[in-house]
Amino acid sequence: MNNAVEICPTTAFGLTEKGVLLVDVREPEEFAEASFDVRNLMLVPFSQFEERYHEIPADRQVIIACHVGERSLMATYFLMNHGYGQVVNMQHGIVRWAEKGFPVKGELKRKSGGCCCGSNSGKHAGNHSSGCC
Amino acid sequence: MKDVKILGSGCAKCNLLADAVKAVIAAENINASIEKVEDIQKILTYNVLSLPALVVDGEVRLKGRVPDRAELKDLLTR
Repeated sequence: MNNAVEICPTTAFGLTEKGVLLVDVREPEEFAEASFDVRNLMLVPFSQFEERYHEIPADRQVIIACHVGERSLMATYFLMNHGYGQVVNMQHGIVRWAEKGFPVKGELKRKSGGCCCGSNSGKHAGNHSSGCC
Repeated sequence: MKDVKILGSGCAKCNLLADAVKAVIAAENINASIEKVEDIQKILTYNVLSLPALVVDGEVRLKGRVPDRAELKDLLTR
């Protein structure tokens, strides 16, 4: 399998401004606290991702994001395994997004956490396509 | 010999399953090879997102939780 393409929040923000879909895979309670404030946003919680990934359009560019970029990397690979060819992972998640001053609804209180099974210990294995962050 | 793989990224729950699997295999004297798979790309070849997961002879038999000893024995010996 090819490595996933990973982009930084700055690049992701630019793409969302152009209308690219951002898929947030955080859990509902995380979303309720703070969410990406972008035009095209879809929520597919990681805990439901295996059952609901088909809701994500396969024929357009998609950015996958989470809290710190671990769950979203797994979700990105999962989609690649299922034939999604235009999917990229946003590194560092909403935490870095908010630190950069990009639009967020609500207040981000949790600065760490979230991973494969809910924690943040997944290992990165993607292509870092942008060094702007 | 059974081929047992524990899929997990190294978090506490994943380590818990690995320890439980090793304990059951030792206690029940099951002839098995055990491998812990932590690489995301390798894990995703099994199309599993809910971790930890248990793979026996190439079949995903459990995902997203750590079962009790009796269930684990059943999963490893069926």
